[in-house]
Amino acid sequence: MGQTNTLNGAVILIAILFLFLLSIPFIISFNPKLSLIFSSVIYLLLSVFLLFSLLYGFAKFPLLLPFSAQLSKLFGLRSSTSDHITYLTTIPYLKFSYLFDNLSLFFGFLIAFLGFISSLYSFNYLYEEHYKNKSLFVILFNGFIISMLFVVFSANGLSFLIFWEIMSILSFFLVLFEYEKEESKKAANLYIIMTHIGTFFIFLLFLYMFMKTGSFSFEAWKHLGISGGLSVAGMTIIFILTLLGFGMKAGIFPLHVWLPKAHLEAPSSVSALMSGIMIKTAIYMMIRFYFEFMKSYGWGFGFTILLIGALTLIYGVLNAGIQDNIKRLLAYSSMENIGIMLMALGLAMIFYSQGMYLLCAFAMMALLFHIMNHALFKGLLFLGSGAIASQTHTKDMNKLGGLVKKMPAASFIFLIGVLSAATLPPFNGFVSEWMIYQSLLMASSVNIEIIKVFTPIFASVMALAGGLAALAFVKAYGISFLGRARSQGANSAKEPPFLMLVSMGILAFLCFLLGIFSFIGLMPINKVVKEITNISIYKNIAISYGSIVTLPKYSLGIISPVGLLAAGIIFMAAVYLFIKIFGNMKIRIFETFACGLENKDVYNISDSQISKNVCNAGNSNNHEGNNDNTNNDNINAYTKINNAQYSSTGFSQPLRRIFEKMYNVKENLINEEYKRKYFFPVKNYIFKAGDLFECFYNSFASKFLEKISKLRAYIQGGVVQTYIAYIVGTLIILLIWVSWFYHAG
Amino acid sequence: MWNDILNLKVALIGIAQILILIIIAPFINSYINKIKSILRGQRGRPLLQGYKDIFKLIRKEVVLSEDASYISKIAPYIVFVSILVSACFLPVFSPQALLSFTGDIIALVYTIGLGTFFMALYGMDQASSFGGLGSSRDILIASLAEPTLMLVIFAFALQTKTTNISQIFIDIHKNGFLNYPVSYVFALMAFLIISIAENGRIPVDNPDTHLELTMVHEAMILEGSGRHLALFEYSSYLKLIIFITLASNIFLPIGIYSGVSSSISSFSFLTILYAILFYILKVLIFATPIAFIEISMAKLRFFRVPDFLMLGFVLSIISLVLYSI
Repeated sequence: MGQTNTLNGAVILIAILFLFLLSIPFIISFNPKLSLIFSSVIYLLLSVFLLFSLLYGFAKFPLLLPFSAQLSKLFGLRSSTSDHITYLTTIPYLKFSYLFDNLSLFFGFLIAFLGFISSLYSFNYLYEEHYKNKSLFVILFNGFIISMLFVVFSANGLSFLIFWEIMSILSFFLVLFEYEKEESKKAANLYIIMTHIGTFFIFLLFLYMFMKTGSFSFEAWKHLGISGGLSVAGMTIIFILTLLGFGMKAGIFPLHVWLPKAHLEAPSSVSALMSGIMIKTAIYMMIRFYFEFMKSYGWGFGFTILLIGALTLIYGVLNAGIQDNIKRLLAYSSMENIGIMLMALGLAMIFYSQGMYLLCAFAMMALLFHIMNHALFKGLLFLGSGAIASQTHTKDMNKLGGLVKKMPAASFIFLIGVLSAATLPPFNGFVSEWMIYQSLLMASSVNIEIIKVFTPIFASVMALAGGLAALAFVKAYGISFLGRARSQGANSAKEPPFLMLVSMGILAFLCFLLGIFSFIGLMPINKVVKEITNISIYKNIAISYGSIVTLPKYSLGIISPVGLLAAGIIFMAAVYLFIKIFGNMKIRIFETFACGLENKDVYNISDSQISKNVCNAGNSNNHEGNNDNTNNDNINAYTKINNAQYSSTGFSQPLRRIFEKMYNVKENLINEEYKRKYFFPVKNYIFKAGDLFECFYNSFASKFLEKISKLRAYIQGGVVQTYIAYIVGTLIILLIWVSWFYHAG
Repeated sequence: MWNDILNLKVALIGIAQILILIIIAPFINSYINKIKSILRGQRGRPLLQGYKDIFKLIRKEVVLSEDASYISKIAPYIVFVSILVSACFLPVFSPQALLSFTGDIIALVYTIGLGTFFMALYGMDQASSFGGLGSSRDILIASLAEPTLMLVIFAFALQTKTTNISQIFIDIHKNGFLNYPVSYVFALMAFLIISIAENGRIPVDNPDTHLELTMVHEAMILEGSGRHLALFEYSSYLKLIIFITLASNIFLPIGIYSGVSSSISSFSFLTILYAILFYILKVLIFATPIAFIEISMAKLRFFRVPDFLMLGFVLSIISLVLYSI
């Protein structure tokens, strides 16, 4: 029932072309390899197209296609100034309308680019992991990416909800992809329940907006903001509903419970997409609501977001530090980064509400740059964790180790991701984190006492999180890549196949590039910021030599990543030369001191040796967890294999102990049955680290269900007489009602 | 033409500043040790022992674990260079720091963080139990010290409305700390606590022992030898001098440093010399209390360290509140 009403014939044509192209991977999904190659090429084209249209605008496109005017005439399309494409349907209110403004183009570009990377990666990954239904995977995977694209391009509440739901359900199926595993089922169930609670709030939100404007289109909602037709109460309702609805998807504290589980169980290329971009579609809608639909609000909303961001940040990073499963660690780190983004969003909102548009533009730029950077490095790290898991068949860091020699290229790429995620110079995470610090400092010029007092405290929270993120990533890299293999699987690992390395390598290169030449990334972001705040600050903040400065009016600081790198290289060369000339360059290789234990490849030794070693270790084991193999989620104990190396659980023991109250950790040391208790004892160390809030919700839900079921048992007692009494009672009440009220009426 | 000469002079001053830091770093360490020895009634090592140690280590061969990877080979260099680069941000006796345009005080913290990161990786690279222990503890202490450091930094950045270190120093030298004297005292105490924690001195860590239970920093570099150990040792000397320089320039803002932006035209060798001598004097003044603290306290148990750092955090909050009022 299509009826079109458009901006530009060429764009419509390109959109139709891309729709056609995007359907090809579905059609040829019977051949997964071919389909993935096709889809990666299409996503690459699409991302280039979206980036180009973001940078230069759609206006240039007719020039590219000289015959477009004729074609438009041929198809009867009209050009207009509106940037919407609308397809009317026969159902009232249900319009599929699409919006290509800079904000959605930016997110669309990130989705398409990450889609390109992960399809490239999946080409080999599917076969490395030996998944059974490869064609099904391809269909779900492409559907997931395309639904995300439609989500960010939707310009109508109802069509947005439809695609949002498709996105959620397809990602649910992808989380459930290894459906034989019990953990997958649990994680997927939790995910679908929580995401639907979120969708429920979004539905309420959209209904409220519909009540206020009488329309589902974003255009009308924008007018609502401009006309100022919202009371403070209405504003608060919208704010709370957005926070609950979109916050659920973003995984804000304390609605994050689904996030680590779902990211853990999904195939790695899907986790990269989920963490890299899906959770940020929620941030995208928050930006839309707070900067376009709600125009004028007090600073309290921004401060709330800032506070929630800080809580999310600190909770995420504290939990990331103690995880033994590499993908869970990365998932909690995503939560931390969502916290950073929310802090930047909160700052931007505070500035926006105070009418300080210049500062708002800066904070907005920091936010969008961090979104971009996080998509790159977290995508890289999840893909890297997939490479590890596919080669060693485990995600438990206590069974990894020594991979740096087994997969040198992958380990180097992963190192770059780890450095970016730990927000260290000269990589991209540092630049956006620095910009957020500067925005925080500039918040002190807001003339509100509470904000002035709290900004340094927020900064110290961010600093603590930065330090603990470094701890988490030292652990992730040090335990899984360095040292010596802790299991047979890790020992027999090999370098992942070529395309997996290439796709990760592209992301690593971009992490480095954006860390050094950050202005490349800031250029497209500036377009988005300009659209929201009407201020172009790119010229102000990025000066030559690749420096980034804060705004001239608030000249707070300046960094030049290029200068940092150059200085580093010069010093490195100088130090190297100095040692080469005056020192000794010889290296002798020798074995590591293993505290008197046998320093052999421990996983090959027999049972008798195990018990001997455990006995020996018992004496020197004052730092508990030194030789504990653990499993994460389910109580799964097995005999310790002693190894002089530090384990993952041991590494985080000080953190666990210091922040004891923040965790739901259970540890136990129990004697093996039928083994001697004092002489050569064999002990099992049981370690379980769950999420505090998951535990809390579970106990709450179980209590609630218990109450409900008791009530049900009371009402539905199984006695027939009672039921008859119910029927009679209902009949009498109905009769009274009908005779009294209806008759009178 | 004039600008070129001026820039040359600025660059020369910048290079002189970084050289000063590099040269006096081992001396300060020996100086602290000497004072400790004198207080104990010992004669102590000679003041030039630090230099001799470094040269001795550089000339020795490296013994590397068979489990070690390329991380072990590059980490010492990266640690040392990251400390050097962050030292370049730091104006020592004149506001013309060599790299003041590339980084501010936040970048300084994060560049030092890069060094800590690689040192922790180095500790885990040799598959030894001590390395992992040291890395785990060291990076935890560093991350717990970070909020206090950032809070102190933010307190000064808010006062001076900049994060550029040169600018902060110039402002403080110009105005002195008489505006907020009490706030400064608390900030100084907080800064002392973080400096102790970040540099692994008593009571947080003992740089002189190799006892398994107590060591943090030493455990991490236990496998280091030869030039690698020399680089690690030198970077810990440099890190200490960076913190002392920060403290001495913020909390003792007197000297020829002030008003230098105009005195660049009256650039003369003698003023520079005076400035250097004055700087060294200030550093010696600030290094002495460290020796006194080390001699009068015992090392804290590891799980008491967070309490100690919490004290620093509270002090910095008090400082901030006093400033805001």
